[in-house]
Amino acid sequence: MKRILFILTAFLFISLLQLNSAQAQCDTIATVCEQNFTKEYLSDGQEYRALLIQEQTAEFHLTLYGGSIYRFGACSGLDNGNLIFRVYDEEMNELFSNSDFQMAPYWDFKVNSTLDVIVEANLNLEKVSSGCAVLLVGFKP
Amino acid sequence: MLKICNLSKSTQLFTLASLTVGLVWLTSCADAGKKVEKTNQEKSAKTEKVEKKNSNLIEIEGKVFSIPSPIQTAFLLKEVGTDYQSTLLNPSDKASAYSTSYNKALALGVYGADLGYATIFDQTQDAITYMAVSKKLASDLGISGVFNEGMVKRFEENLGNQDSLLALVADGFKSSDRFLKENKQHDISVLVLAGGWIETLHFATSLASSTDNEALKNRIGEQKITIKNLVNILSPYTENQVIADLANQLNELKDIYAGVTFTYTYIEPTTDAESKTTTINSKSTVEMSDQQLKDIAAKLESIRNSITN
Repeated sequence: MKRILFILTAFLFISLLQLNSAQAQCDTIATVCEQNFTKEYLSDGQEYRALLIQEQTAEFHLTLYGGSIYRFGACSGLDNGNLIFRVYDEEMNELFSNSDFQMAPYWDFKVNSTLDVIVEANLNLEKVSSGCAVLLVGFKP
Repeated sequence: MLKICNLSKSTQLFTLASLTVGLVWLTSCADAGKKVEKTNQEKSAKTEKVEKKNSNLIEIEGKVFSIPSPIQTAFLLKEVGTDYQSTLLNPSDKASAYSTSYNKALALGVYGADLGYATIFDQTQDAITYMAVSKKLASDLGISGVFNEGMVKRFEENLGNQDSLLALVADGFKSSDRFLKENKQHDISVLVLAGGWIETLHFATSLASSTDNEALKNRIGEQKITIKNLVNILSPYTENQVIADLANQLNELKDIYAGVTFTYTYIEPTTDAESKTTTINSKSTVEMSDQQLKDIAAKLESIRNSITN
């Protein structure tokens, strides 16, 4: 019984360490991802993260104002190309996928009219099988 | 989400261990799970398509919707030629009156929008004042590592350089958002966003009546889609009375917005790979009567009064 309790405690401890490690990993990736934003872009004031495993998909919704230029940065790990992201309108028409452009870690969107979009992100399983996905949004004043 | 939380092992020992670890996971996922359950009920048919497309779908931070930056609408106010009106701002001397962390969080969002508005209109003295107020509230909320003396000093050093000031403000709020989420204070984080959204819409509705500007009215009407996101963001935390009251009021505002017509037409986007730019050509229009605008303005003022007084 003591042996079971010991293993259980060790297992729990390792799990908690992994959670903290994942959080720290997200911090690092967020900092790296910020490098995709030049001074001409202002942050929207929010940061979006998800821990992804295998084929899981992260999703977030946002409103883009007409007459604006936005930059989306999508990162996982310390290298470019680890994250695939796609942008859809509210009718699920695909507006963009970075898989068509060598998994570019950032992309700009010139918006003519205000709309709601959905951004989906998946890991590029050819490079990574799990990790923290970070999405950042900036706009040109 | 369930696949993440329900791990299983074959041996008895590891089943026991897995169940315990699963409990840890469930604890960490419980909040997100509640959100998913609630938001699933509210999802439109369009969003359901996303789920059908990928059964392994999870959502960022348990379905967090984004709220546009208050700075964007403040820019519009300047672009359409409105004059700076300091009377629109929430008086800075009220800051010490906000006692609970929820009231402080809402006030931080309000003052953050005020700070952005004053900065965009080059109102140096007001900007310094509202930076100081934001710093105090952030400190009270335990976010002093972001809005600290160093940031205030950098702000003062960059007076006259609007781009740098706005970057400081935007980064400050992004860092606050990061800090609050890392520390599992999502409820505080969403209140900061809500406060900023309410204050910005207060600027827009207050100025729309005097300017009769079409772009400004459209921006107010376009909030029909944003208010849905805002209500969704708040919904997981309505066990707290402050948030429940706010959500109820915003739902009433959403009901008024239901009469506003927002029409969206998809047009194929164009992409320039060289400049890494996609132009979203889709068109949207807003139809909102003067009476609807008045009703929205009146309800919004009532909500703002309830969070600032």
